[in-house]
Amino acid sequence: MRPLSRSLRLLMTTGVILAAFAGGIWLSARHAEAPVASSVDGLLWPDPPALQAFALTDAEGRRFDAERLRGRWTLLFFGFTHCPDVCPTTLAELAAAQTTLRTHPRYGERGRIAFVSVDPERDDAAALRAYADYFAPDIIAATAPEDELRRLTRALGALFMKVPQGGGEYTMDHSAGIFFISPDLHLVSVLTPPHSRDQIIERFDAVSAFIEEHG
Amino acid sequence: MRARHTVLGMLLVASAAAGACEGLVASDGWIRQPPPGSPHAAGYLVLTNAGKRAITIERVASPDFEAAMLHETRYSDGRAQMRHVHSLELAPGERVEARPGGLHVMLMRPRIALTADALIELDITCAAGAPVAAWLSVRRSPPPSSAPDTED
Repeated sequence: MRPLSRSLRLLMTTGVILAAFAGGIWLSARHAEAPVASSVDGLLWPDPPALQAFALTDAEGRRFDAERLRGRWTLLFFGFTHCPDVCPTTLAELAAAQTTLRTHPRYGERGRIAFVSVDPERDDAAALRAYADYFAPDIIAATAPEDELRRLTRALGALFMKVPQGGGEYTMDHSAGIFFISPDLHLVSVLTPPHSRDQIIERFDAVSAFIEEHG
Repeated sequence: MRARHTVLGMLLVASAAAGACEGLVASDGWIRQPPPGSPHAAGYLVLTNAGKRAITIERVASPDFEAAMLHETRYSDGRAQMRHVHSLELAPGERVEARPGGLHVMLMRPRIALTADALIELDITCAAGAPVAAWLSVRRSPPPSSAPDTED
């Protein structure tokens, strides 16, 4: 067998190197396009919905909109002050979880609980502030007229409904999940009820770790 | 003053009834202290039928509140729904636990200050009988035996 000429060997070697290089680019491009798989329980991934514009009013009379949530983790809960069971139970568990999360590197001092009342008819600013303060003084408590509330609930896939109970009384059916909103304003998880402090902490830790790395 | 205090009251927390509620034992009663501004509170307790016949609880009331009724929080697709429980039947030997996130006593518009450790009277009426009293202590947080219901 005739030995290959020197120039042919050079050509073949160059071809192999070029092919390997092109293959590498192709593989890395493919890798960038493929979403990172998540095994985190309850994570809305790979396409967490972006928070749509909304404008509520907090218990201090200030505008409460998406920008207030930017750059911090927010645990948002819908409820109302006339709710005797699920709302105080959840807020007590959230406040207990937050006490622990204050030392969490991703929640820290900037993280917030947001309590959004779906009962603006009865929940004025004073009622909201007194109610939220009982659990933790830094809870953001806010509400808005029904149309504006629905912009937020629609964005989060949440629901609320007034249910008459006779004698002029009414209650509110409402989504009772805890909505985890990331610092770049995406809904990344919804923890379904009933809630406990430990479940809230566990969900936050897992979800925020994944989002910080891949979000 | 209607508020009673735990030191004396804990002795009364478990009570067995006679009449239409015969065999009914109400125990471990407590009320979550409502936050300021909230006119409603939820009461929790354990109801046991220690008798030999079925018991039907038809009504609850409290002299310490303007109105009281049995309610149940139900969850449907992550949505909390609070509904009136019109009557509650307990078979002989049956034990029903009212706890956060489930069955509870809805207590509306208190007539007294719900200070921690105050004892609240709850009158339970079974079919065609005189009411029997159970006692619920006001607490800021649940007793260890009554953590939120996370079994569902």
